[in-house]
Amino acid sequence: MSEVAAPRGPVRADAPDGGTRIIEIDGLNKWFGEFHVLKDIHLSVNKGEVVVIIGPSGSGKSTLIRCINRLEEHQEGRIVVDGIELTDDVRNIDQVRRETGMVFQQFNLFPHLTVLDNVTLAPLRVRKWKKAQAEERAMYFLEKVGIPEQARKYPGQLSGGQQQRVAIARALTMEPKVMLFDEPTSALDPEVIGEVLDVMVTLAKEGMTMAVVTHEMGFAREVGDRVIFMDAGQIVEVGTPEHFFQNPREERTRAFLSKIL
Amino acid sequence: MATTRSSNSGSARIPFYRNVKTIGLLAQIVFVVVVVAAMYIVYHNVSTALRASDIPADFSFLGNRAGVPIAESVIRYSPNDSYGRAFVIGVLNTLKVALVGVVAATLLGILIGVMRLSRNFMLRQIATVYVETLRNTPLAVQIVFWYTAILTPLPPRILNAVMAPGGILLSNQGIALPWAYPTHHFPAMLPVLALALVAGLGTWWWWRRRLIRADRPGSAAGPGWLALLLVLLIGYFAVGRAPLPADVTTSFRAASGVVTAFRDLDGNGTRGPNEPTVPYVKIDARVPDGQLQVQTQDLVESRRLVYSTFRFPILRPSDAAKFEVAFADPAKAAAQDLHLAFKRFPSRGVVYQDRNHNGAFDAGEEIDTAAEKPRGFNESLVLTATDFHWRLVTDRYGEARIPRFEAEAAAGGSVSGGTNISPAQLFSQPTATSQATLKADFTLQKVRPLVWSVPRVPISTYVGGIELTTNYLALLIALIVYTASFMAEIVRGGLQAVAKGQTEAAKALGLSDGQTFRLIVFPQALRIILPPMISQYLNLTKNSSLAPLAAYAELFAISVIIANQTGASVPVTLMLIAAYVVISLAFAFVLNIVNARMALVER
Amino acid sequence: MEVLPSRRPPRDARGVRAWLKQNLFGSISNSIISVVSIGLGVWAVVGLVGWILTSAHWAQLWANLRLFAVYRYPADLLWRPLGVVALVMLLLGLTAGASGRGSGEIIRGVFWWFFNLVAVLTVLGLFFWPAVRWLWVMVAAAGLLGYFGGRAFPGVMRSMAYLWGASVVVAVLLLTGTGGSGALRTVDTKQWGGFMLTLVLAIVGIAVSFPLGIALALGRRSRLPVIRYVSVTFIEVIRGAPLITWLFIASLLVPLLFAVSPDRISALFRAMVAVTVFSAAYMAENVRGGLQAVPRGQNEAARALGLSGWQTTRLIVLPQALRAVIPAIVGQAIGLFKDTSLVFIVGLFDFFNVSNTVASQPQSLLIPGGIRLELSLFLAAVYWYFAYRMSVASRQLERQLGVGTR
Repeated sequence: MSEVAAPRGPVRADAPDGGTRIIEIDGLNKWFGEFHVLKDIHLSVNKGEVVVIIGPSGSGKSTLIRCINRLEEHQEGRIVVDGIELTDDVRNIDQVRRETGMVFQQFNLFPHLTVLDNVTLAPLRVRKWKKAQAEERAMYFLEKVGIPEQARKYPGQLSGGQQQRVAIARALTMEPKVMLFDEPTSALDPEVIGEVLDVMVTLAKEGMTMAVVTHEMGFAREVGDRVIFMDAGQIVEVGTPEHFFQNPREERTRAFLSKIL
Repeated sequence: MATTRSSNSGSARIPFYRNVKTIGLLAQIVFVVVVVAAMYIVYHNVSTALRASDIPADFSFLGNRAGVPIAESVIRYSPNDSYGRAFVIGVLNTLKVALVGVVAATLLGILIGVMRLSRNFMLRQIATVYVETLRNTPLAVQIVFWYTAILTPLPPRILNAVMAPGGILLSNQGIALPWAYPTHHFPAMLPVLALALVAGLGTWWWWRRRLIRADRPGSAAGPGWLALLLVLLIGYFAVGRAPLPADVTTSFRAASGVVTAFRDLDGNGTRGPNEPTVPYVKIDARVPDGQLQVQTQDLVESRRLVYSTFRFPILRPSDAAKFEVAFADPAKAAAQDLHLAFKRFPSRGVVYQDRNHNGAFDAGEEIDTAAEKPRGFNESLVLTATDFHWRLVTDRYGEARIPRFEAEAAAGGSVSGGTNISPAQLFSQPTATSQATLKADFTLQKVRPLVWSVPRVPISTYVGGIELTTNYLALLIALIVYTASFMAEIVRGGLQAVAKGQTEAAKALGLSDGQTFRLIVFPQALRIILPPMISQYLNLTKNSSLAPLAAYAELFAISVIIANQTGASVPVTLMLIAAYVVISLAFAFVLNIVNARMALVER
Repeated sequence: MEVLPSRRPPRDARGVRAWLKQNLFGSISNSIISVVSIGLGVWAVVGLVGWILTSAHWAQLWANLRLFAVYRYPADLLWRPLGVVALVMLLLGLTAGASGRGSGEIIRGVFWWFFNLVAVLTVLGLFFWPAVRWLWVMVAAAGLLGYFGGRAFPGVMRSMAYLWGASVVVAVLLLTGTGGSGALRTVDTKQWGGFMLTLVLAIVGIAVSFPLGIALALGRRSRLPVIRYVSVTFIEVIRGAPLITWLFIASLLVPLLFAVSPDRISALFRAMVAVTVFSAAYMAENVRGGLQAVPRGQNEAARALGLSGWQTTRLIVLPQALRAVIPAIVGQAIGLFKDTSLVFIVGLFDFFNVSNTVASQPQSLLIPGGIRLELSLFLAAVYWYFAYRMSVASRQLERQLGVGTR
């Protein structure tokens, strides 16, 4: 991996002015042991914005998104989510996690709980809702992702696409302000990717703030407000989907796109 | 890691009870405080209790005289030795049962495991029954079964020991095998050993170089070993026999039949306290004429009551001409029409009344019909020996035994005792027998570096050779049989885990069944089998602590004795735990090496 | 094209002959092995059965059955241990009757197995044991009552946990007594023994070591080094030495630890401490295996939802880990059940040690050769029956769990 420093210093992926900043990342650096995974990341996201992060594997995009709800601890820089800074303060961490939903590549549904229990677990335990309320909201979101009839089943009895939709419903039921997607379709069979993407598109169109790590360029083109290309732990290029897919500026971006498109 | 510039800039302002990092630290501090406090309370309570009850709390008692008899030990031991040495003997006895057990259990486990996968229905069933019954029965029950229900009641008693080929003796006291021991002449072999080592290594090196030069495949180990053995053998006979040092002599206690070889430093012919005994000396014992007396007994043998039996020490059938067995009171016997029938001349037989007058012993004739309850004839018998030779080898304490003959002169009068009288009793009543001290001659023989000691039974115990006691055997067999049932499952699992495709591929290449198993399946299965096998080895070793059930004196049993005798519960406890933890760590160490090597093979 | 009709396989590929050829007489060597092993098998079985039916002395053993069951528990108070059995059968029946499908099948299997055993003992009691005849009838009735009660009112399932909890208190009170001199007078634990004691030790050992083991396993996986090292040391030292040494050590040191005079702490309690602590260390290793089997993603997903660390462990990680190690825990229970036989070292008379008492009774010694063989076979049979049934149940469980998670 070539250690070419970005020509004009770190690329800033700032959200357009005029919106409400909901994620602000400033000068973020992270190491795994000696390995510098994230280098000087500057990124902000406005409320209602859909940011798509692309890049080759090992470029740090998953790590970046996992820093936003502190599944990974960063060593330098500031991360502010909805006005709360992620520090060592347990209270802040808990608050941020409450306000962000996350969808994983491997779904990570809880296999010992039914679909409904998966979805209502956090509202009951974290938000301390009443059971009736939690189940009502859960069913609402399960309907929204299109699988209310599976509520009493166990995750193991569902297909991959269905499982991922449950995972989305699980995150949504907490009524988060931001949704983080970490390669949500990478572990799915090709024929079911569509059903998950449809849910995500609907969500985006309804105005949910989303940060999405994905290889689905179609998704990026359809609903992405901004596309961010990362390589070797840094942001290489930022732009609107049109700009990005028609005339990327950077050589590395072009090389990457030519490989995957 | 790079120095923090502005990361988590707020961390200084976070209250410590909400800080992720300090919470962890805090939790550990609280934990340590709790643990230390608990340990202090334990320490305080224990030390207070110890002080109050005057129990030894340090290890100084280890040097004290133990005074405990230990039936079997790998190294020299007498009750005069210290507690520390007794403990060491415990460790050695644990190793003795564990090492043999591990090897035997592995073999049996592999056999049963392979049988479980046999294509033969019967073998499969037998193996399944074996595994399912034995691993679901407590080891304690199995040890007691072997000890009290099989090995003690079933084999013949020691005076009727089974004489297996090769000088092996079997009885309910255990098995005795001939064994080679190093004599005082052994140091002469040390240069030979060194020479053999050099020759072996040299041959190996030379042969290897030749192979490499000629670019031929092959192993140089064979010729190396051959050279080593050849030099050893030639050296052994070249070293020859050596006489004993001039001052070595023997002393004999006729009452107990014990002859001791010792260095008579002051030349007075009797062993003083500072005169060392000489182990593994070959002695030719000659009894010109002597007598042994026994009483017939009604006894239970192999779970059957046997009437009117008599037993003399096991004497070789080849010596039969030198013995004569008769009633001590021939007149009385004749009046009752009693006769002798031998099961083995001259050492074992039965007294019977020839009721059907056919001149031979028939079943039922040994029972005294005149008695109210069924019992045998209670008669005294005398065995007379003339010019009887025994080839003795002294044990590691410099002692050997011959049967407790009495001189013929004494036997003519009152017949008393028999083999049931203990040596101690004989010492306490010297008047009757002391006049008739047995005459026996002892000639010390020249010896080679090793001496072949053959077991015999002069007085109801094995003497010579090497003895595997019933206690040891019961524990050993139970451990082997029990552990093998677990090992069989491990072996079976390992073999089954080797993909079927491997077997098919091997067959497709034209390998035979045996070759497939030996070259393809087994090496791969070994990788799966070995780690759990090692933990079974550890289990076997730890399970040997059930030894008290078979009255075998290993680490745990001896520790219990020491703790009970000295009251030093805390130090003994610590030593016991330490010993077992060291053993466990040793196994863990081996396991790690094995795992590392297995991982290496995988790449 | 015409479809060819399926034909039956040729004669020698099916039926008894094919089976015999495949399994017994495939080749000459195979045939020899078969003949020899069948011969040996028949000889062994005939010999053993013959001995059992003709030569063995069972009377002495039969006369001591009460010792084997409860040792010296007072004869007039036998309704108390049997009352505990009845209580357990009642609750087991309720649980089995009221629980639904899936895991209910396992519970029902366990219940019916116990019930069959109780039924056999009840029949034996009706014929041979006048003293406990009606008590066994009570036990059997309690089981049936519970089962059909549970079937009729599945709603009891909700309060089952409380009922089981309460039954523990009742069982302890029944066995030990509440004092006084009447029906509920205290029975010293010195008089406990036999199979009752074996069960008490095994159940207490597994039940109490369960939470302890979980705590130790979590400690061993803690990210805090001090807690981790202390847990590791504790687990490894306890596992390092065999149970019999811990029993011995407990008998010596427990009184010292609590700074009271030795006779104030019963041998039973000392044995329980040793058995529980020992079992906890092994439990910890089993649970740790389960914890390792839970994917990291589960933890992350739970944390991402905002669950606290403790909530994550309790609601997400532990339930999955424990489910994965149920077979291992049953295996451990079997091991512990067998290992309770080691309490002879602290002078308790459990099922195994009672046999030593019986063997050295004067009447036993009068029998030529003693009755050690009879006793050994009896012990082995009883232990085997329970351990084997547990292992079969465990294998069924494993299969069912395997199906469930997929």
